[in-house]
Amino acid sequence: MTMNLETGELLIVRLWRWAPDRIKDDAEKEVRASRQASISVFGISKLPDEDLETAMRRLTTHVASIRNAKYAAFTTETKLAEAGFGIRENEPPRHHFDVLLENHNDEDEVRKLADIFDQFDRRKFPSCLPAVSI
Amino acid sequence: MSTSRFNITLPARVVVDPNGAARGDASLSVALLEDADRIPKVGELVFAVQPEDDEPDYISSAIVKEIDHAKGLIYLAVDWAGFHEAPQRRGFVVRQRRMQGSRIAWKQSYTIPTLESQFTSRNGNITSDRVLVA
Repeated sequence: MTMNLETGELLIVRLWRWAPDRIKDDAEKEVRASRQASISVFGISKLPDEDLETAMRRLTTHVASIRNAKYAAFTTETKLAEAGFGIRENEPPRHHFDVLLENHNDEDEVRKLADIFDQFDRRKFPSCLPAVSI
Repeated sequence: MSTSRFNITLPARVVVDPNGAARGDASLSVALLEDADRIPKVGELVFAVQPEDDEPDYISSAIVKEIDHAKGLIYLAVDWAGFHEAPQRRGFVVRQRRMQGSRIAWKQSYTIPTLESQFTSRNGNITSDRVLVA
């Protein structure tokens, strides 16, 4: 599937992992800390005249300055919204967002969120080179 | 055959989320107590782990800064730049044959490849300062 990203639209990245069990555990952590079920992602808005690959690398370059992982999955704020997931900015760290869940114990909701991060190719982090599918 | 007895406490392994940050102090990461293979102590050096199913785990080190037992959360200062693929943790016995005069003598050692380095016990003596001896 090809990702469409319009100028000004939010490009979202989540570092490995985004499997349902991990999403559920990460959301549980937020429930205990803040009572709001959510998972963490990073995001930036696409600049005018910036292509998708450049935006991806700009985002992962920023994230790699503060975090580390083997792989990353990209999506957009639009894709999350279409599936019913709201996001909210939650800095610091810079460009950090929360993806909100209604009930992290709802397996269907967690699976739906995991599927969004599986829509597009898994990428190596931080190079953004395509990684072999799992 | 004689045996050597020694007790080794490996650092705890804590699964960390590379996307998240602690609210109020973004330099810290939060993990569920259930994400640790044993409950560590504040100030303890632990392994920060991003587990993999079909590949070596991605691991680094972290220092436990706070434990909220009521909420079941661990706050960690993770060395994000230090992540690397972990060698397998399986230990094995190495036997070396030596000649003592006209006799053959066996020297036996037990080697455990750890997540960061390798340490060896020779006749019960731990030879690496990276190992915590209980």
